[in-house]
Amino acid sequence: MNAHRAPVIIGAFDGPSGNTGLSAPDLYELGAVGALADAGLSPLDVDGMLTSYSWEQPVLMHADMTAEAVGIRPRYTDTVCLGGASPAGMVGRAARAVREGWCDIAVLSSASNRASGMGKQAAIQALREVGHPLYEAPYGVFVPALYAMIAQRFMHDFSVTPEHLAQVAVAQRAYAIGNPLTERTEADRITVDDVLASRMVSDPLHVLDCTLITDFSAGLVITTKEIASTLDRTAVPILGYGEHHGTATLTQAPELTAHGARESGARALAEAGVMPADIDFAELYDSFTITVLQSVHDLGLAPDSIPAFVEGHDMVASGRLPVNTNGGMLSYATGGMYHVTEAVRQLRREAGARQLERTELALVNGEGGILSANCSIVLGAPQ
Amino acid sequence: MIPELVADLEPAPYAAPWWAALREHRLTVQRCQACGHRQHHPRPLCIACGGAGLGFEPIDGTGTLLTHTTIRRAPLPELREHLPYSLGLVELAHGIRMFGALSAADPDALRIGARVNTGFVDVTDAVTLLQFTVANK
Repeated sequence: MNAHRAPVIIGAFDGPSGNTGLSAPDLYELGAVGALADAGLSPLDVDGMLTSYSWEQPVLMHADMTAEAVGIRPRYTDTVCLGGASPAGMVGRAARAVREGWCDIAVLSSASNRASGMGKQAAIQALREVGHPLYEAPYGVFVPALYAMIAQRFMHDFSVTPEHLAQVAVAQRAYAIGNPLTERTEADRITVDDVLASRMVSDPLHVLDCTLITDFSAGLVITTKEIASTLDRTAVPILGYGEHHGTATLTQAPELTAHGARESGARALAEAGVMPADIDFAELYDSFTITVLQSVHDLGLAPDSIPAFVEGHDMVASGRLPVNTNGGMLSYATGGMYHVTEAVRQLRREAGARQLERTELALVNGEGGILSANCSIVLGAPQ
Repeated sequence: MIPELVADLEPAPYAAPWWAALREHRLTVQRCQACGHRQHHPRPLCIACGGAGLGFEPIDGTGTLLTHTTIRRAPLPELREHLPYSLGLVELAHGIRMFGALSAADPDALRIGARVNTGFVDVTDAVTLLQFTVANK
């Protein structure tokens, strides 16, 4: 990593989620404005804008439209369309943009009103847009079915059981109960039996194995270490970033139980000069419980086996490697940007009652499509 | 299977022979005339050598079930009446993989590694799709 113009995060914001009743553009603007406020900046200070996309109100130049709405006149924009990996992919792109001098300070915003705007049925139908239109979609496939097929093979090859998958949901619900932004209480605590008793969506994935369908909005501000210093803002360094795009569809995946996070994680860790064992906590895209365990496997975060990782309770707050410490998409809100904001919050030691003990190094992983787009980020504690 | 899901299915010219063979209940695979590489699904170029000379040859429909799932919650309202239905990813000869509907007389026979046979379902008078059947245990 070029020491000059080293990329850092100086703003992180969790906007409204759940069932907001707001429009997608409104939610995008809230994410950006909130991130600016967290960084102590105004739109006039910013010269880069990145957003993810919008199913609900697609426009041709989404990042440009959002910049105009917020009052930013960027010299660099990017509308990132990597599915669920968009937020992590946006971080990588913004990091390179500030490093290369394409802009000095970038605002990132990711949002959706798929719950209140699209309605659950339309959101489910939108999920059908993933999967090959000729060779998979005609069979009535949808995203949960494709991940269920990944889960079946993963369970077969690595002796992982439905109970192991359920433990991921149980652990993340416990984190959500401790996260004031989720409004979850003890009454919402779940057990393995609760997960296995929840309605089956596609064998072996139950409803509680699947991401919530919610609105979301979140934002970041990324700049260089030098600019952060002149602004006197706490800077979370982006120590490494890696990306890999193996295949877009499941049928073409060269291996059914090892996917692109192997490459993206290895690249991010190599750039940061650290090993998987050095990572203190991880925020891993969790479209499904299987996505978490697949990512743990691909990223090399389980020193022994996946069953040992789960049975050893590694991922809980007191465990060896806390994972999805805000409850994640399974129990907080969907989208993928909250994995980044949570990592920043923990690294800044601003998580209050939920503060983890060890927060020197974090690994954030984004997944898009059918484990197609893989974007991995290593973040460090502020110096 | 659902006619609405194939209503606007229009293969590109380089893929048309595969779909035409399917309508005749023949399973084929695209093969490069220059290097012999077989690939599925059909593409405009050979992904092994980049060559543009591609043809189609028959492939045996017996294979092994790589993975599968049974859908129990409908992705679309039109599919509700068809629940539950199963999908499979199958490995045929030469490492060729194909995706399709999956059926088994005995649900317990639906397991990874099961032997499957390839069948054909005429969904409309324009489109035929694949249905793999698991041999009974």
